[in-house]
Amino acid sequence: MTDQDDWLTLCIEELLEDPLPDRVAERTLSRATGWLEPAGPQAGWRMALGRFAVPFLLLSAAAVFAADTYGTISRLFGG
Amino acid sequence: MGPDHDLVLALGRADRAAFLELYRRYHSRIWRFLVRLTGSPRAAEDLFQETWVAAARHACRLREDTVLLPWLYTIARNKYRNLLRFQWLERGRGEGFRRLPSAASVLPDEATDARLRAERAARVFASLPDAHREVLLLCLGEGLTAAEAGSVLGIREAAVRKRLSRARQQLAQGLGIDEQEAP
Repeated sequence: MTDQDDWLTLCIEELLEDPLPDRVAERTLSRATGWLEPAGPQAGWRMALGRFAVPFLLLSAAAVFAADTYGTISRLFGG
Repeated sequence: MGPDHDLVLALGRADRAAFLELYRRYHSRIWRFLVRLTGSPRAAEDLFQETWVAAARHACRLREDTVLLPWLYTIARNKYRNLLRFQWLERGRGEGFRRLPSAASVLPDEATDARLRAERAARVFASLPDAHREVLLLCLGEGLTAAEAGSVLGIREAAVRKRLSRARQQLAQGLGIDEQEAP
């Protein structure tokens, strides 16, 4: 590394370096480790629910919509 | 195998203890990087949280040969870029770049000179383009190699060197340093 690099590195090191607030560290770990619950029956149940809940809801909504549309069309054209 | 290999394997199993070890090893460096990159501790707080949440979410998909620190810098940098896209970050970065040297260790005149130098360096650094600030922070501030910085920035090693050279020139010019000489 050249002398100029040393001086520029020193300039970089002179830049702001506030300490990490404790409340930020606590909140960060709390949020992050929420994605890393230890394995077990409860975790499996939760994972399954999370993985399939949205597709299930979308399919249900689609089925209701399709049934309603079919019923409407039947009434309009079926007499 | 790199120094993080065992940790990478454990993270791949979503091991909570492994994640806490990851955090213990690298949280201060990620914090420092974000504070200097944004120039705003307040903005850095949000980005810091988002970075580690993303790391926790995606740790299970790590490749075995992943080097963890550049991976974390990549996440942090991407979070910063996303924030810029939404223009949520205030452009007054210059106000945040300031760390005054301790007055106890220098004479009064030296303290004034040191403070003025630090403030000028902060202003010049804040005025650089984002790409230049990023490469300066990663290579000179965080000590990454050109290859590691390239993996964070998504560019080739040769491009990192070129960008770093231009960034150094621009910073040196702003600070009034002759490129051929050292103070």
